[in-house]
Amino acid sequence: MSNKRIVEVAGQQAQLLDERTPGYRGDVVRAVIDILQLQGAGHSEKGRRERTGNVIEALADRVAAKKRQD
Amino acid sequence: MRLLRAKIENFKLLENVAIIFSTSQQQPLTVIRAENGSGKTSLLYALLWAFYGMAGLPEEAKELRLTSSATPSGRPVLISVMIEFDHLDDSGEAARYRLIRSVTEIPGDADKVDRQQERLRLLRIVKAGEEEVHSADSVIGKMIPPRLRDIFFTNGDDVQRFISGRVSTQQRQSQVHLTIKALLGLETLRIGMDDIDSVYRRLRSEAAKAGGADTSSLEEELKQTDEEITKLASQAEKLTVALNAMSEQKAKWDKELNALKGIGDLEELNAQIERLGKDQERYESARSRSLQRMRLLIKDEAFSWSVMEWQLKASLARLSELSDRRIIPGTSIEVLNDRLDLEECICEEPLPRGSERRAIVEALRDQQSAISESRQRLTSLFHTSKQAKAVDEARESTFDDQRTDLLVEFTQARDALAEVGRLLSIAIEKRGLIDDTRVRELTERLSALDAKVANTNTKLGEAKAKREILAEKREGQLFNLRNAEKAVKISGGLAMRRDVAQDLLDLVKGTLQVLEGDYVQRVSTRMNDLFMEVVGSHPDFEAGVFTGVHIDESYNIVVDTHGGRRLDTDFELNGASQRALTLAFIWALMEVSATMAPRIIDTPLGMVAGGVKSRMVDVITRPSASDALDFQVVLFLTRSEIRDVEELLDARAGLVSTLSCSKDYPTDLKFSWETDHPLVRPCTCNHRQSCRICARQYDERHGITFRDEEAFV
Repeated sequence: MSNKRIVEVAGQQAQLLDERTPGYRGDVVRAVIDILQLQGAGHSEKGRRERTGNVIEALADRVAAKKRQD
Repeated sequence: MRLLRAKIENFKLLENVAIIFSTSQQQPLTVIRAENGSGKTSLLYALLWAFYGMAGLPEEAKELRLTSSATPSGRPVLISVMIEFDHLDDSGEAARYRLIRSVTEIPGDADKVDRQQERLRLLRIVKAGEEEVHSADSVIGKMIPPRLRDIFFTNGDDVQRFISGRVSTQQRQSQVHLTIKALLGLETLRIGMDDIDSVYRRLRSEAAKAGGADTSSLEEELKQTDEEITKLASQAEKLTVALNAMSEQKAKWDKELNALKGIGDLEELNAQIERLGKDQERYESARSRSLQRMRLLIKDEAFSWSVMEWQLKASLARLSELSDRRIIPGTSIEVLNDRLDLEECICEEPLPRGSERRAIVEALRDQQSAISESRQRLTSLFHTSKQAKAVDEARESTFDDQRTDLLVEFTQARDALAEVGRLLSIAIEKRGLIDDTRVRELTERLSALDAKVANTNTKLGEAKAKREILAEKREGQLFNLRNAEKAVKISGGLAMRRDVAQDLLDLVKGTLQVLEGDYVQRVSTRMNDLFMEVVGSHPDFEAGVFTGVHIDESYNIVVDTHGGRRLDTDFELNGASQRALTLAFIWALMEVSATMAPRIIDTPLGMVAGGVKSRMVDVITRPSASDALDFQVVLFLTRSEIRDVEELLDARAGLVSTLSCSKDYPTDLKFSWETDHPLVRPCTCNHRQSCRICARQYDERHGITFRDEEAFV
């Protein structure tokens, strides 16, 4: 199913977050959509959570790296 | 998802049927015209089977063969349904797919069948050709979830599944809730939120551990609080579910009790019966008294005076006349006896014994004696009559007056007795209908249930209050943890991971909250607009039945009417309104959720006529506003359903085709197809046309134009 409404509302909600680095809010929304899409990929709960962790850690590491650069 | 075309082979009577679907945004409607028994439901089942396999078919259809019942036993038949469609994935990328589900069936005797393993292929059509999509079932399930098949594929005869009282309130609420959750992505979000929360907790714990003993200990406390909050949330959820179940039970018992009480209050009825019984005795006694007095009145002289007045008065006159003439009372016998004793006549002649003169006087005396007896009687009668007449004249009321009064009394008593008897019978009959034991049982049960509800509400309140206290405690613990973390050195990477995880968690929580609140409300409002438009009602119409519809907090679809009353969707809504309500719900939900999926409805306009019919077709086939998502509607319609909406179909239908069945020749079909077994054939005739395949005997009545050709698809 299309997550059009989720993307729309998540985009609005992202405006409430701190923009830790430029484009951070958009990255958070994309990360959420990536995480939600894991549900249709046939993973077990454990596998899904592992991958969710990977998505979050990857985003955080990118943000941390950007911050270090700045 | 947008359907492009379908090809069905050997599914029921659909031996070789191709259907093309309209993909026009301005004409989103595809019409499949078919009369009863001409393959509409088979086509619906073929599409359901293609997407979901046997699980997609209704229970009663699963055991039956998929092939035509005319297929000879023992002959293998390959059944195949191919559907080509476009689909937009979650990342917004559009792709074309071809789905092919097939199975070989070997029909046995009757409906027994040997069905081999089904095969499902999903091909992604790319420039270079076709790519096989693996885990086709799972991918299709994601594109068009099986639990939502009632939304995408609707049988018009069973459109009220979201509002019907044939299932329990809980099941109905659950169906509405699940559908909303699925289409608004609430379920996906909740699972995603749990996944992110689990990662967030792990990262928070890792960061705290890295900070040393103090932060570890604070994190441990925070973790315990979180666990307690989760436990309380689960407890509150269970209590809410229990309360809903209790509320449903209470409504059921209340309804039953009210129905029993509607007959009448038992105590009141008993009192009424007692009162009426006493009245009955009183009126019976009055009636007897009247009768008794009537008997006495008839025995009374007054009655004689009344019935023989003329004769009595005439007799009295005669007697008075005799008296006037001194014939009565008579005295001559005593005089004659004296004269005989003195032996001397009145004329002073001697009357010696043995003399002839004396013999004459003696004869005269004897003669007078005979006359005297009558005279005495007449005298007596004269006096008695005079006395009786005096008594009668002295009466205060005549016999007639008394009789009239008595008759009034008697009639009143008799009528009152009959009325009391009638009321008594009704009351006794009513009392017989009341199951006293059941009334008592229900009253006791309801009282116990009320106590249980109150108790559960208290527990729920306590759980919520505890949760609020814990939430405050948690805030404090988190604040302390953050302060402690500041005092120690935590790896920037670890802290960032934890903070990013928290950002994601906050974002998903916020999104969920908005969708659960605002968007469910939007579905409710849109459903109201669509429903009121279809039924042609407005809250201000005093003569209108409906003032609005809405989805309440418990996910019930509620129909409101004047005076703040709710209508029972089963008993107070006609078939057309039930269809309108279900379609309004489906349309509103798909519109608000921006779901791009086909809506296929078999026979949607049965039981719908007039203005409601045209407004319903107008609403469900209206192209989307330019800023909204476009959609696709497929309606399976009979000629009767099409009648009066032809112009709307002219405007909205991008494609119309017709299905006909050979079995209808010669009764309904005009031309024979020269086939030796029953089958369904499609043709390209639209709702205003017919050809040598689909022409029917009564087409003229529908204003259908005949094309003298076989318009094969």
